[in-house]
Amino acid sequence: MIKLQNIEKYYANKGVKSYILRHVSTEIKQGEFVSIMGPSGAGKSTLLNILGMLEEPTYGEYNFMGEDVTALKERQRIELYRNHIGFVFQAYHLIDEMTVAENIEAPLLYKKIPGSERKSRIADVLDRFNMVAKKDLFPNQLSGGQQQLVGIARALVAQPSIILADEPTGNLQSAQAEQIMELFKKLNEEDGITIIQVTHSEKNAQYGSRILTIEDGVIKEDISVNGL
Amino acid sequence: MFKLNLKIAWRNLWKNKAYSVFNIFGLAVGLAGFIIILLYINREQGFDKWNPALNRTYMVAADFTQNGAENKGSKIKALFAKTIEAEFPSVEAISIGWLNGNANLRTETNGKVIKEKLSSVSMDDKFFAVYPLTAINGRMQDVFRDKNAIAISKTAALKMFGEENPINKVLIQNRGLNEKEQELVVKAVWDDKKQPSYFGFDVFYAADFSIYGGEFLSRTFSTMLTFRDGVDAESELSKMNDAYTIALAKFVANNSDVNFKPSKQQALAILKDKEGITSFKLIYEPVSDLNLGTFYSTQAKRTTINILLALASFLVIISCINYTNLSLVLAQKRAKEVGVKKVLGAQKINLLKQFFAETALQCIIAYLFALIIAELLVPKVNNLLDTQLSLFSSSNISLVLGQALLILLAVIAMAGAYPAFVLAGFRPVKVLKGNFNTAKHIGSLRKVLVVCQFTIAIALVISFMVMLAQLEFMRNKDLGLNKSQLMTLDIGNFAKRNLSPAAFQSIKDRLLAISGVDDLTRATEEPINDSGFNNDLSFAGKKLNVESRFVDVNYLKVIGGKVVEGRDFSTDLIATDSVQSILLNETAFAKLGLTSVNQQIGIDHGDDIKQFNVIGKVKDIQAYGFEHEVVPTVYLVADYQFHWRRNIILRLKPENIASTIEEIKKTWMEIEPGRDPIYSFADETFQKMNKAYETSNKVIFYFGSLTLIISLFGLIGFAAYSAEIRTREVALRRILGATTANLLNMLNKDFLWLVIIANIFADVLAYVYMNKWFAGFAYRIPMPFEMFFTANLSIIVITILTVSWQSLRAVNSNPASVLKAE
Repeated sequence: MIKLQNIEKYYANKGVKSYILRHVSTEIKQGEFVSIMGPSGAGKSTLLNILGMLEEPTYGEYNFMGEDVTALKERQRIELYRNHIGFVFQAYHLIDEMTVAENIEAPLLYKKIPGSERKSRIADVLDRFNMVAKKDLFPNQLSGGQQQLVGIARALVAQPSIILADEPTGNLQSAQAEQIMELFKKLNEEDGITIIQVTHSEKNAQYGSRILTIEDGVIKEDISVNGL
Repeated sequence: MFKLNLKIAWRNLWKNKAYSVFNIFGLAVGLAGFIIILLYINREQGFDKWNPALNRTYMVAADFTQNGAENKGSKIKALFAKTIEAEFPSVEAISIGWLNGNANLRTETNGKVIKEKLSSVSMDDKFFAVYPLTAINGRMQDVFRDKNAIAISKTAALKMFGEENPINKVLIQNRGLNEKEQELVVKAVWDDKKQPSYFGFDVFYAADFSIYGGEFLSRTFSTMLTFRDGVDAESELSKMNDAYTIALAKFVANNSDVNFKPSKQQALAILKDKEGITSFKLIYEPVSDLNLGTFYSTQAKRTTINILLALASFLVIISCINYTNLSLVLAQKRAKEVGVKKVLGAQKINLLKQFFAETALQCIIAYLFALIIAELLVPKVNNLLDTQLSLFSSSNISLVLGQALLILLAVIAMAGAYPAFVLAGFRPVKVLKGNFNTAKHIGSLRKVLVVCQFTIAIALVISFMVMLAQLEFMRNKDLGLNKSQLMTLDIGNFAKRNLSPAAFQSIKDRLLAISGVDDLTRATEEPINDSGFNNDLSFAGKKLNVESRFVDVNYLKVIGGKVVEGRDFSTDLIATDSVQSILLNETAFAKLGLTSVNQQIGIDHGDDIKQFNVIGKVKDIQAYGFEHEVVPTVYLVADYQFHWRRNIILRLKPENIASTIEEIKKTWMEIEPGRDPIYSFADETFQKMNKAYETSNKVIFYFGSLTLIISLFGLIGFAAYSAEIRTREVALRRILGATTANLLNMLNKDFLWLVIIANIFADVLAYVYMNKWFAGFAYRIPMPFEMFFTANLSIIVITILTVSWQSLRAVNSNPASVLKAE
């Protein structure tokens, strides 16, 4: 599904290149649950951003479902997010001026899905996440865990084939974090959604099927969890 | 999606209530100003538009120099119309008569008297072919059927007759003390609201030329003509110029022989020879242009309109700048929303639409408020500009609202475009990483906008102050006479106008018997006005055209004029003074090169030159306001027969003025019954002369205050937000030991620079504009640079106070709680 070949990212500063990513090559198949780990500043988030097409690599080839992403125009990239990718952020990034239901509805609006189907999908997701009672609340009226649930619901409602999550539990207490990770695992196993998460926590990484460890912009380790 | 965007827009407005109020209110005030000015402009340009032949209709008059004096009357001899009718088939119709008369009319029904002074037009029977007013009741042409017939405007008919049908009703015309009253019968009514006219007349009646008999052709009249459709008016008018010059030459040469065909050169030679006319040309003006500025008026409305339009545009532009500025300030808060939406799949166009929808929502709210504000302000504006504007009842309301709507769209585009593009252009990665600071990206533009705003506002403030200083100078300058409590009373009865001082004594005694009257004298005109007479003086081979004031002996004493050299006229020497003594003013002394009194001066009387002795030098009296230099003037006490002393000038005691005036009126009604006394006061006349300046000063004041207020609103919002986003920095500095003064200093610094730069620009701008303004004055103050300094300093102080006030919350907040929240 995803194929990275020799991806490099650097910033040139007064002629000196400071590398964030070097020679990153890997392949991620449909249905995998990958955790990217590593110390701060190793380049985990940059890698995830490149995967999510929020940043462009300085060099290298990125194939997403057989298409060369680096050659795409912004408009086409946005088409790709709409249809295939859901994002989940550490800081949730819900839109403060929208209610829970409206936040969840937003990606569907951009996909131009008709009103009746939007309603049924939102109802569906709210029901599945047990949040029907909270649908008219604004984000600042929810706890962190609840906000992240809305964030995930919003990512899922557009029925993506892949979810990219940047430290999804970084701002949460452990009980809530566990709940989120269980949810991810269930989505991966039952719905077959590919999940790529960046995490600091060994424990969270164990929920996945594969762990990529990055240090100083280079992939240090690539191990399968089940193989342990 | 649109509905959702609207909802978000509303929630955003609500969340940022304070900013929204500033934004919307500022915009509303700007738009209100603009709407009012649109009303004014539409009204001023709306005259005569109902006339399908308007662009083919011209007023014609003559401009010529006769015996060295330019004659700029707005009329032309009847000979012109006769010539045109005979020689120019390109003219559809030409009409002559009087366009600006007055009629004192009254109705008496069942003992109830309604009295009105209405403006009247009386023209010949071709008038409606030139100026096709249409009757809504009766027939306009019927006015020419009967000497006593009259047409009346709908407004005047309402005043005189109420709701009753005015046709065949009687109006009684009072024609002054020297003619009998006349009964007029209404034969037609036209709708002056649907057919607004530049000439603004309420009644029309047929002109009666029979009184002129054989002199008719040499009399001058207002003359209006309409060309046939498709005629090149300009070339026809220049042909008319030549044809009339020749006709006039034949006329003055008294040679009507058809074979006498002088060329234009010969014609001009005849005019010079017979009449002393050295230059002659026709003045023609399209009727459509008259209201905005005519050949005969110095203060054209077009200038007023241009100035008002410029000021209103400033106001709208400044409001837009404010809007843009505050939106950019708020952009920081919106950055996350943009980032998230982009990640969720929003294209740039979706976001642009959303932000434009938000601007539109605010602008529409502002527009509604603007309508309310405009409606509230209209009476005040009417008062100020001496107009009758009305917003919701005016006949062109749809035009005004339509124009204002266009402005609104322009405002939405102007104010909304930049923030929309900035917001929609945010890069999601940067925004979502968290520590994104938009202030750095848009800071410089915001600064430019603030500088622009303040430059305009400060320039207006300085202009206002400089104008005020000049006005103050004009109010207090020694005019050469004492203008307070100086009353001029018009003598109505012709028989009482040419009385000798001895014959006038009994009237004088009756007026002097009133305890509030100090003294009185007579003159041909009031002291602050054109005297109506000119003479050529000659001295030592020099000739000088001077204004002549024919007065009574004690004239200068009563008006408070000063004789700086020699002596005033004297009652004891009246026998010689009245035939051979004159006074000259300082300007005449200087222009003639006269060094001392008691010199012989010749006065040109057409056929011979009569010698007079200059007995005194009078301090210059400023009879023509401040735009014009004092004209050389001669004072004479001679000749009551041809220079009628038609004005009594009274010096009143300052106590109980009102009751004195009442007594004078009562006494005068006994002397001249049958007419309300006509009087005026010198200081009021003077005030009227300066009224245009006072008005423009007030207009500048209002617009200047508004721009300043709106700019300050912008500053408040800007400062509040700056302080808010720097709360953390302020808290940290506080912990590191900064005092309140340090912090305020830090927060003020950025704004202060902007305002100082704006001050410099504004000084230059105001200097250039004020220099131009001063060029219109013959008597002016030197450029008051202290005003520039005062304005600059006050604006800077206001800025510091505003920014400090907005910053205090950040400065005074508890550092511990601020840092903990982070």
